[in-house]
Amino acid sequence: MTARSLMLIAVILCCLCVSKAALAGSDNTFSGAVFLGDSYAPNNFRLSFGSFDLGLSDISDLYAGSRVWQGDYYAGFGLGSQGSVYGLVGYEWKWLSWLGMNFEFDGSMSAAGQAAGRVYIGLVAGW
Amino acid sequence: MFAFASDALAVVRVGVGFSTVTSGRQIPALYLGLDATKDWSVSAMLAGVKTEAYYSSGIMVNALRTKDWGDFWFGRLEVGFGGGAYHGEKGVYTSVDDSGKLGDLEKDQDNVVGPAFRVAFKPFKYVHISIEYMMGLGSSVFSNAWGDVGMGAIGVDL
Repeated sequence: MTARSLMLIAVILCCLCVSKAALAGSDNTFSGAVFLGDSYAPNNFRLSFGSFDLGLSDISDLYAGSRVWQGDYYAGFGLGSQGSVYGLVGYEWKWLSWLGMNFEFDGSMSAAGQAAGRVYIGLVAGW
Repeated sequence: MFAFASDALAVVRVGVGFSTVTSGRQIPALYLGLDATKDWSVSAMLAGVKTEAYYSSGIMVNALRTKDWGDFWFGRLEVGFGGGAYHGEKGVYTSVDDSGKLGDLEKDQDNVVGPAFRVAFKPFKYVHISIEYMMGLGSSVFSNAWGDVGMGAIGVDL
């Protein structure tokens, strides 16, 4: 098992633990989203369980974190598999109870010195 | 000093991290911020690098409307959104003569403005881990490609 795999497992376990309290108060819905970034390429994918997020993006690689909501607006923070931290702010425009669109600003910084920001447009389906 | 600062209206933030100016290299950048009012803050990023062959430096200044988003994990989450500007300069020596002396310095400037955002996780009252970016506007935004400028930082709130 590589150091990267170990770090990834640690990140996921950490975020699952710290999200436990938030999940207890959420509606525990699942959702999946695909986001279009630079040149509208699909380069961010996210699965959410309550406030816990697990995803794969071009700036954070594999990432895990949490989001908090205020109405249709949300903000999030988490850790990536490359020893990175990420933060995001976004707005979710709900078309139907299970389908919506996201507008999101993401930023990331890794321990190796990588730094990048993105504007993502996402399609999200929840159940 | 910290006890005094806790009741002060103006909070000064100082941090260090890595920026897009030197992305990919572990070259520290300085982050400065000032909560001018309860809802508004001004922040700046200062970053740069200089070697014998090239230099690159940049400054970003943002004005953000900020809000405390409440409890998050074992701390709190603060969010800001607004606008900002970036000015960067860089130069590269493109030739070397027979004696090894550098010549023909090619210079370039970047000036860009755009929307900016900040997300800061505060595990402790006076400590922040923040992500702050200004997404530069240009013709490429029509293809959703923004001129991202910014940094992540860890620092203290004084």
